[in-house]
Amino acid sequence: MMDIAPPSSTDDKLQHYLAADVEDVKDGLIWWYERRAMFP
Amino acid sequence: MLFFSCGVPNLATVIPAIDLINKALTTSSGSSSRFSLAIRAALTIGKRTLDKYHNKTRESDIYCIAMGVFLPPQLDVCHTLLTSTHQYIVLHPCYKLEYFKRNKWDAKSIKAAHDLVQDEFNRSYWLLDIEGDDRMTHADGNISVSDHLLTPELFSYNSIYRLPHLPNQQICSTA
Repeated sequence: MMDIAPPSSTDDKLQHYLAADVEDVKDGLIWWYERRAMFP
Repeated sequence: MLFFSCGVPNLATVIPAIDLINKALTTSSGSSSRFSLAIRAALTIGKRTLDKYHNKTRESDIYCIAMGVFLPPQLDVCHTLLTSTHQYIVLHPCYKLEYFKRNKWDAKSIKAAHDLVQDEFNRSYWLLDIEGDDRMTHADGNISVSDHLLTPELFSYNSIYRLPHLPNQQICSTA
């Protein structure tokens, strides 16, 4: 099992994504891959 | 310049690299104290060529979603070009909409960038809920996802992930 933070609204993952703080990420694709469960 | 020949650059790195080169060309082509007229003329021509390729990217919707508008503020054409390539990295976790704020975009332009991504999300991904999603909410509020859900088939639901897997890339120094 993998723990992930809950989205504020499961109906709008985009809003959840945009509401979160920006992160210092060099490879955006890897970032999305690692969060594929939250943002399938 | 080695950046463009080191593997396969992805969308989130190409435009920033172009921006960097564009900035250097703009600065240098206007520096009469550092460069002769002939050099400045060559730099200006190079900048025009770069602009030509930069403008070509507006023909791709993917660029519109993955990238953001990055035009010199004096052009003030942000609104009309929001459907072009120049929208900046909304889907890159390093930028999102913060890029627009940092570059002092007005609220209307930022909303236009947001709406563009929202529209694409609604059109292409809204209805892609995964059948049999057995996420569980724990007492601490976290959600657990069974490992068996993390399959390549699930991953391929989102077309953005259909890009080939790329190794970690860094923008190569032009120095």
